Amino acid sequence: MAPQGPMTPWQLIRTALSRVLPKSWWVGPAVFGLAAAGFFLSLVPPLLLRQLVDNHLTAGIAAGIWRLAAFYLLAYLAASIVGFVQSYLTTLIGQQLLLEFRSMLSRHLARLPMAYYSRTPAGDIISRVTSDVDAVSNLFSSGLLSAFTDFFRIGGVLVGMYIVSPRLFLLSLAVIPLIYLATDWFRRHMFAAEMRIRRSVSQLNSFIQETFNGLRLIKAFGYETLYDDHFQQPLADNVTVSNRAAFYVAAFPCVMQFLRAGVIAVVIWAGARTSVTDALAVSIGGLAAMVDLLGRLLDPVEAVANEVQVLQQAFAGLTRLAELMSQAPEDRGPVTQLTEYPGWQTEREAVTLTGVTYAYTDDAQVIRGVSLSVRRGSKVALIGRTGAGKTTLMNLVAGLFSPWSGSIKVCGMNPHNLDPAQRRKLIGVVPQTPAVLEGTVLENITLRDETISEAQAVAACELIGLHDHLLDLPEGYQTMLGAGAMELSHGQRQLLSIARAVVCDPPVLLLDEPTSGMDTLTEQRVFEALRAASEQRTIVTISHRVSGIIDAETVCVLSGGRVVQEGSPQQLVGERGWYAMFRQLEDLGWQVQ
Amino acid sequence: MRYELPKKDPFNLISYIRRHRGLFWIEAAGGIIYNTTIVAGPIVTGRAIDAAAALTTEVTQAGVRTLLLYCLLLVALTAFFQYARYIKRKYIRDMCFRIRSDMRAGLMQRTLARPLPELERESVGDLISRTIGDVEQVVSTVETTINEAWDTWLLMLSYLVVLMWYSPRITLICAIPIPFALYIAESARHPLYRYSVQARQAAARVTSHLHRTLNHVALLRLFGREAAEGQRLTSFAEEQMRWTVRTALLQTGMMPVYAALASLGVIGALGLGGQEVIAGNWTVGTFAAYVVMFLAMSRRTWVAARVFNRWHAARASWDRIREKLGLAGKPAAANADGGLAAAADETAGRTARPAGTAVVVRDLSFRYPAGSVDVLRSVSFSVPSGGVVGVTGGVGSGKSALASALTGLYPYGGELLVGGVELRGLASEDRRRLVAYSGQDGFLFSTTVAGNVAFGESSPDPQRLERALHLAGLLEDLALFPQGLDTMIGERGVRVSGGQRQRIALARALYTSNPLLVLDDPFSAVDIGTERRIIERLRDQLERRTTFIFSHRLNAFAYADHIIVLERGQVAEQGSHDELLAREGIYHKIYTAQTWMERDSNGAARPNDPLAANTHGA
Repeated sequence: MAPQGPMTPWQLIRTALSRVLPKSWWVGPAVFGLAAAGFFLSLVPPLLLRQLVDNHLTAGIAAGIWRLAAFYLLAYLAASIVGFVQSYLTTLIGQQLLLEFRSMLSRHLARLPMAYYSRTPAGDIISRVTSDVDAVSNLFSSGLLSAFTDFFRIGGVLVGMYIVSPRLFLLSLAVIPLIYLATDWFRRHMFAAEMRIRRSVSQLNSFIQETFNGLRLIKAFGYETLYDDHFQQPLADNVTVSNRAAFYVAAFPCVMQFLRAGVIAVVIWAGARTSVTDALAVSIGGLAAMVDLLGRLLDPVEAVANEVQVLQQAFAGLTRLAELMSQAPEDRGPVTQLTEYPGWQTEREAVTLTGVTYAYTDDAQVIRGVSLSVRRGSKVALIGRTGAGKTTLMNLVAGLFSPWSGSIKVCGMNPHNLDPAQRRKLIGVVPQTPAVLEGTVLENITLRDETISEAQAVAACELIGLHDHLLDLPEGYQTMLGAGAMELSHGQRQLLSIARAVVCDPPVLLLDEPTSGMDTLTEQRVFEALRAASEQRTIVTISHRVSGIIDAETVCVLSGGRVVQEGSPQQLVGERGWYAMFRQLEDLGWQVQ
Repeated sequence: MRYELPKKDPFNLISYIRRHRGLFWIEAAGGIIYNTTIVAGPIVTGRAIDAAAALTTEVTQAGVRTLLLYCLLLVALTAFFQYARYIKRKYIRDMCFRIRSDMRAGLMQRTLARPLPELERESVGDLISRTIGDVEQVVSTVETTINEAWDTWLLMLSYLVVLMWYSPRITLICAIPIPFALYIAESARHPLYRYSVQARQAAARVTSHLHRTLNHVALLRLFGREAAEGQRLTSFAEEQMRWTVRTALLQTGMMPVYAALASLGVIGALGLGGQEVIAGNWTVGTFAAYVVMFLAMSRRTWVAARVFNRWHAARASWDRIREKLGLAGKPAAANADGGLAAAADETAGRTARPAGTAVVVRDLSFRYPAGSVDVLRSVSFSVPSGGVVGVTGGVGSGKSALASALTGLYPYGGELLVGGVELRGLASEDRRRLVAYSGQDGFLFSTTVAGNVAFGESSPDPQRLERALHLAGLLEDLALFPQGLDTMIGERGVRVSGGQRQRIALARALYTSNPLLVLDDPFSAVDIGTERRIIERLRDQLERRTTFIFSHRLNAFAYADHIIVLERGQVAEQGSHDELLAREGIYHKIYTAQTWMERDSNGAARPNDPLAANTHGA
């Protein structure tokens, strides 16, 4: 379980690492070994070079040159193998961490209340789980982590310098504050420039987004050229701001290289016998080795500084991931199983609501004290205008939310804390817009629940008269549906949605505007399917149209979150009231809003 | 300099570089100078080491001066070629930033130039992603390609020339592994490409799976399938991980291996070079310089193999950009599109200007660009100049279609005369000054209230602004906004309610002095009292303008001068509010029912007879 409450980016990394590392216990020793090898391999070649120059070249001894050259090559090859293994390890660990992030997020998303989804745009969640995770992944793919282990090599380089000449080593150390100051100066300015770029990019992007979203308006007002002109400003700002940052980005490695040349010049001068600094003098081989070592010293520093941007983006991504993980999950209380209450199969009251209230936000109650009782096997319709609270009431019965006060029982059980995997056995839901998921017809019916057999799916489809249509499809129940694959008609989608609801043979069926937006012919087919499905079942239908309710024995009219009229259709049509008004508007083809 | 497409051949990337050739040549000069003079670094360092070596035997004034000279030369030369490098890095960025802006401005301009019916079939998200993401991808690839052309090929060549100059024999022998390393790196390119395509596809699967799961989160939760879908996400992500690891291994992991392969010759450089020194042909400094340059050259091998890999991804982006650049400016298509004869008689009325805003509609038919049936059929009516016209109707009655036709942006059949002039025959500039439109979505831009109302004008006229705000009933709301007219709205500003949003959009239409106002369902989120007040003001204060209000809510139509009731694409009833009530037809029934429901849900005492409710409107 993920820790509760707010989470910092560091906690997120720690949690993920604590799950990834035990799977690969060897990573720790391996990283340590690599670091040691890197340390060793960065000081060996320059020392070999010194030996070659001092003991052979300046001394004129040819014997042994090839042996040293071979050692040098070996060290070089070993370094490349270490590099390869290191890159493999960082990639592997990095990717495993990303995988862990993704599955942590996915588990967390399943525990968030529906209210979170209704107030958060899907795009926001998707961008967190994809591009923010990707921003973190750049941390690993950019070689930045290798750069961190490169710091061990700096240790090796420093030791190498000390071996060649402790005094020159101390002299070279003097350059470190200089490098630090320069790097820090650039880092600070790059960071500030990066912030400005981000602002200008977001202005630019929102201009583009707004213009494309407002196309209709711009065309209606005839402002095309005006918008072309307006666009120039954010574009120009973007170029200006980007160029300002480009100065730092362009200059930084050049300045570092210049500093390096400066240090090399100073070291050569100081290391030579000039009778000025003779105390520092070293052999020619030593000088050549120092030059080599100094060259290696600055590479990791430069690499890290170059990736500052990646680092910052990765941290911003981590912060946003941590934000999502900090969203409080829903407390559904103890999960109950159907087996805990065998009476659900015989319970006389199929749906009971007692004084139910609900509100999405503190200040606006959507459901204000609804009490309702639906006998087993009866058919009830809830009608009302948009905003009357119909869908909310439906979702409460289906167990998506928990009421603020009052209680809801479906066949004697609280639908909210029922084990999610068993809900289909108790309640079948046909939502307003029939959803088709990418996958086969069969998968669309079972929703990939392997406990449901194909025979059950076929039985459900036969019941509602969809079976023959499905056999007409190119691959029957195995036909792929979704974007780029087979497209079903609106009516067929709704039938599929009904099959999905009845496949587990639940005693209660909830229908949300089952025929809205259908032509009369399709509506007839769906009605037939629903009649077939409703045998032996309790049906609760919600609709904003009187014609959208099927064979209801009882009709409840909802208005402002309350039941304002209740009775049989025959009884209500005679009363002057909501039901009669609905009938009248509808007969004239008007929408009841 | 204005950001725009190159005048000549915007479908060729070179044209964009040509537009900024000044920057390109500066950048090129920097790149050439840097990558050729950089060899001076190791050479001068070698000389300095030699000068130091000379001092080991005997310290002379001249020797010390030579050493000092080379040390200073090293610093000075490095400063010179690093400056050239800085110029290269700075100017190539500058050029690419400008090209990026050119492409974006071009995409925007070409898109805005397309006819509205065509644009309405585009996906806004797709347009946005092309203008932002694809342009970025192409331009950054252009940048790396140019950059690596200098920093890899030219650099390797410079090193090779100097190495050959030092010793053709040693260089040729030691360079033998380099072609092999290049060949191996090159042959890894194809599996690498395959892996990276697989990795991208796996990533796309993760994203689209997430999209689906989040879009259907309620359904999955209702059916208890969230956990299972979460597991599938994990398995997709695992697959993505596998391909990404493979790609990364082949891409970054193999780099040191290629470099090591190419550097096998270092053994020869050390051995043969060492022999040269002992033979007295080379100095130690030459030897050191040679080894440094040899390693630098062979390490570049892997970069060389990588240069053109990026083009795979960039090509797809560039094709997507070119596709949209190619679609612009075919206004004739708009009229041919609806399948209604319209284009032919257009030219006739082009020069005429409407006199007044009396609207005469005869036998009007209309269909949506994507539709196959006429949603308006032989609609005829006429309304005098000035006054408020209410248009109403049930679902699918053709209200919005009539509103669309009245904007003049869509093709239609039959006659639609405004001030005696056929609307579709108007030049676009004249149409722009004639019609003001406000839609039901109340679309606002993220700018100030004033900026939204005086849409497109940088210095709005305060008097017109105040009048528009007054008419739209916004002056009271403004008092509550933190900075009044200058309050930012939208993402980075205050949140406005749905009703305020619609009224700001309305004020925007009112701010124009256009004499024909088309307001499509402008009050759906505005409360009834405010709606009545606004319609009253519109009728009393806009004598010279004709205002069409489309709504299915009849409560406020009592204030309209003329009411048209549509039913299934045709006019069912028309006349004044009182006339229509007296007819006791469809308008009367709807009005009665709506009034009753409104009263009842507002908690007012339920009248015994719903018909009694009429009186308050008259």
